Amino acid sequence: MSAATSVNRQGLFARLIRNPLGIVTLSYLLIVVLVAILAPVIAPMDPLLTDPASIMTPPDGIHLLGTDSAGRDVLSRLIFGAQATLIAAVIVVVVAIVVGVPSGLLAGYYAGKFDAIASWLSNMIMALPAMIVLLAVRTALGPSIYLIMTVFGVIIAPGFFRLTRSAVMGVRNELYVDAARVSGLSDMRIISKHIFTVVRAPIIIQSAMISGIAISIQSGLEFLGLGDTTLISWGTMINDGFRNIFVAPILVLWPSLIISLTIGAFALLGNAIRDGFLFRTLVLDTLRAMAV
Amino acid sequence: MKHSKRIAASVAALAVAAVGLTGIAPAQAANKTDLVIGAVAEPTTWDPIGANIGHFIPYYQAVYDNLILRAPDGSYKPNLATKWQVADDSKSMTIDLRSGVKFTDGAAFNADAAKANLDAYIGGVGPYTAKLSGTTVSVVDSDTIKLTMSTPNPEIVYWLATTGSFMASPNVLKTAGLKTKPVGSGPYILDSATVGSQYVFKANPSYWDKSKQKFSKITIKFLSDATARLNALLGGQVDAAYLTAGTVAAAKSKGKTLYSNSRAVDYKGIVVFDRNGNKNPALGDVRVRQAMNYAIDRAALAKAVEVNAEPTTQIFSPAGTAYKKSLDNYYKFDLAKAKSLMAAAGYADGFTLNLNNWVEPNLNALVESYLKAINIKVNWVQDTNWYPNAKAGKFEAIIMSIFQGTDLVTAETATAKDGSWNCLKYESPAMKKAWAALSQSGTANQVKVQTANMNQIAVEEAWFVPFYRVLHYVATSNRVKTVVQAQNAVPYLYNYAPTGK
Amino acid sequence: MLGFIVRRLLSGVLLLFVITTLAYFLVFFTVDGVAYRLLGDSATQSDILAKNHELGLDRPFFARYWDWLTAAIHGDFGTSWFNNERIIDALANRLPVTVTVVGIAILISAILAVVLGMAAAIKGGWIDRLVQLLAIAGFAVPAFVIAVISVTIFAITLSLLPATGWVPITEDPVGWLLSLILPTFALVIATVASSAQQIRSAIKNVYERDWVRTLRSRGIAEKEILFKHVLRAAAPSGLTVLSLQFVGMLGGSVIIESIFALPGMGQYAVTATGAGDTPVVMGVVVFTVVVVIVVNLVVDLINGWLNPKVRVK
Repeated sequence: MSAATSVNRQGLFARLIRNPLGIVTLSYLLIVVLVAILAPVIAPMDPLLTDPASIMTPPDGIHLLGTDSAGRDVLSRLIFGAQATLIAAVIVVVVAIVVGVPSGLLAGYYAGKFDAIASWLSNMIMALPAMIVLLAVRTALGPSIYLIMTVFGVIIAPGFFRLTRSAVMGVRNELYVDAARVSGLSDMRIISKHIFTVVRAPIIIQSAMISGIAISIQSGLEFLGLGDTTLISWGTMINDGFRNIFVAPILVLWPSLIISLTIGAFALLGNAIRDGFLFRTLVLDTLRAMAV
Repeated sequence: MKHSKRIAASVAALAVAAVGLTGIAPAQAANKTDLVIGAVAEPTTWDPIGANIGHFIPYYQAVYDNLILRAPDGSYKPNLATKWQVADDSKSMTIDLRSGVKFTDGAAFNADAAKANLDAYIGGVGPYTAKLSGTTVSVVDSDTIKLTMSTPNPEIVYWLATTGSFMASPNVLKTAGLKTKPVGSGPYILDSATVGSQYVFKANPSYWDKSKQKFSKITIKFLSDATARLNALLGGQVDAAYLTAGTVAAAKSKGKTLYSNSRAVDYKGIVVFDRNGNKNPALGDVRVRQAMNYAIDRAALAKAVEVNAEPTTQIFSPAGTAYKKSLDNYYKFDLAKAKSLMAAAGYADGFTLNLNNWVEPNLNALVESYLKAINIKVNWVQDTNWYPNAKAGKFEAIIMSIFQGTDLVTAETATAKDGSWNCLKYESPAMKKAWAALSQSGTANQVKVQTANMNQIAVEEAWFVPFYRVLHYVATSNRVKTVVQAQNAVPYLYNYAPTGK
Repeated sequence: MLGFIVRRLLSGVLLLFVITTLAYFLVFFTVDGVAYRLLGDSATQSDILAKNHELGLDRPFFARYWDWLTAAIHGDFGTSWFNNERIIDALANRLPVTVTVVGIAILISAILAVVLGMAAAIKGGWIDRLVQLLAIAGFAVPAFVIAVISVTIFAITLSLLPATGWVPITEDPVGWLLSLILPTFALVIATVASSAQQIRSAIKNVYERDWVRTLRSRGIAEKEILFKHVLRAAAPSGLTVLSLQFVGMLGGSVIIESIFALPGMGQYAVTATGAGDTPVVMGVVVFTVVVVIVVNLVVDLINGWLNPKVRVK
């Protein structure tokens, strides 16, 4: 069994590398991650350094992408903004996996009452318009974007739940799982060793898509001015740009462009992995609807 | 950019198709006897008890008359009152009322109606009802009433001319229906209201003063977003709109007429509450507060954030008598001086200042940088309820834009020990003395002298860190003109007139 | 069939109850400060207490919850704290705006998606790849970015269309149509390609089934197979896609309505959120959940009618 697993693992990466789209998107995302981590080193200026004498200046030799409405360097803020954006995406994915995958494993493996309740809950959550729920959460808990993203992780967790559950149900009665059971392995071991292997690839695909959705939702809330406005993030930059759309329309362009590119890269990465695996999942597609 | 280009091309196709099919250009605001205003706020209630100044007052002016009219220059003119007389001690007032005026439901306006309205207002709970508290109203004859105040109220005329005397029909006073359906004697009648969107008023056919009724129909569109208001103005959906610093230049470049209130109505700045130093010991030291004042380059800040804002270090309005021009420049930007004051106070290494997350992120960022230069680190408290929480005494200081009312209001709210903007109840010996002098005799002259004195004290003791007075801008299309109103963010409804185009 | 409907309805009611209860506990957790914001700068402490009493905020939490729930069951969500409007009236005024914008958008999106999805599934080749590419692009560019860019170009720069606002159809049908173009456009662009892609996979899925091959081997014309059999079999997944898209657009309209100043539910929710008008936020949550449950129920019923197997499940 472990031989199969390692082939599988190797396959994922090898196939991704062979796919030109995979290479391009993977390297783009890698660069974004590196930029976020190395932001203090590579940013040309302090992203908080204001300059009342140069408000919304066009790009020049000092400010390569110009300055914003407080005279801060746009390029440096884009670079630092990658941090908050990626952290938000990671929070959503981690929360969604932590909530969705174990419950999906249990529901799929044991079925019965737990499955009935969990499935009902999952359908219930999926029926909610995420944005409206997040507005209610924001009213109650305040503007911390990380808190809001944690709640969003729970809202989007049914994606993982359904995916895991159906995958587990599909293999539960396969021969090798039966064999494992007969050979005396505990349920826990069967779940962790055999079944988890099956759902790993779709989880990775799903995580990529959800990262894109998380970025879209986060920047949307910040665009509305409902996020934490002191945070350096691409969403707050769009908010600043839209406030000054008549004075400096270009301010809205940079963050829009980088947000679109990054979400697109996550989507393409998901597609590339799926093409490599010829893996088809319905749940994946339905998730898109939440991100409008 | 590739995406947006493609999107752009397809929108163009769709748009052209739509316009081509119908053959009609985008909707224009209707003919010139109409007025459409883009407003930043909408009324919370039509009950006169809830009347508010600023962006709210034009709504009430459409449907109600008040006793005294406030002219654009701030002077007082007859309205439903034809004459009035305030006693020298500011403890009583006699008002002669106009006869022959009827409410739109047919009820007559007379002394009884006026008393019923004022009694309801005085006994009610609203933004400014407290300004008339302690007042009793008596009917002298059918067109005369007398107001008697338990304590001197030198500003009684101001309050009657703004929010305190909008007259509703006695038939609907104190009914729940009044909150959503106004019945007054005003120049217009509320025809339809879509809360959150727009209010349509039509001319009151039997109105007594046609000079206040220049349009056959007035629509006030509630557009809370500044960009949406500008878009509506540029797109011709509104004739007049309240603008912000970010939208003024665009309106000007597109040929709209700009009106700015030269006598600014609000100031922006840091209100330091914790002058006792209980929450943040540093703020208890006057030198620290003075250092904060010296650390901010007001001229540069005003230029960066606003359009034509007036730098100042005092909180009293130039419209009043407590204002002193020299106090606009009491603390000149001087980093070295600020640093030495910090050092003298023992805070050379600085401290952390907790501030509310004010709605203008760019202003916040600039202020943060100025304070950082003298080692004060700003911690932005993420609290959506900062306003009520500040009022409840949970903040050591806040950034805010504060209305500059009359001198007495500014003094009472900001410098009195129980003032609603003195949230941590600070009192200095000098200020205490000034208040004692004022309370001893509340005559108009004493108010003049002591409020000026209080202004001086508040500046010298650095109670506040004011940045600048903000100008309010209203822009109109060429179909409409207006006049700015003293001490109000937007023109009164009476100030608009058609240009004939 | 009847049992199926009753089961779904009961489940919907239970769902509504759970959600509204959770939401109530969440949003009414903090209500201090409302009176301050309502009364403004110069309110005194006794004014505040009086206002709190008037709003009933001085009563125990569970008493308030019970009153709210019993009133809500009778269709009364109370009045807004800030403008005294009855919330049910406000929602009734605002729902048509949202439903019109989202309804037209979903209609256009559905027609385009079905045409594109069918073309991609049947013709394959470049059109297939184009749909996939557009799906990624639509996924990548958030609707509000499309909206912002289109307002800048078509309303501000070219002055072709009104940038903001809403004209009731009864007042000016042409103005109504024009005010709808940009908002629906932003919603359609953001969703159409991904719907098309999903409809494509749904049709392809059906085509790969054995029974389609059997039909072909019997010599039945391709057209007949497609329109009589394949589309019918693919319809349930297609409908599910569209119903999810509808829920998504309801969320998306929150931002779109704010940009275009449309007096719909989304803008109502954003304004209320900013102001802390808690009863309104509650009303919007309840109303939206009701709309979603009804739409899902209708979709389930149509699916059950199309494919009896669903009902048994």
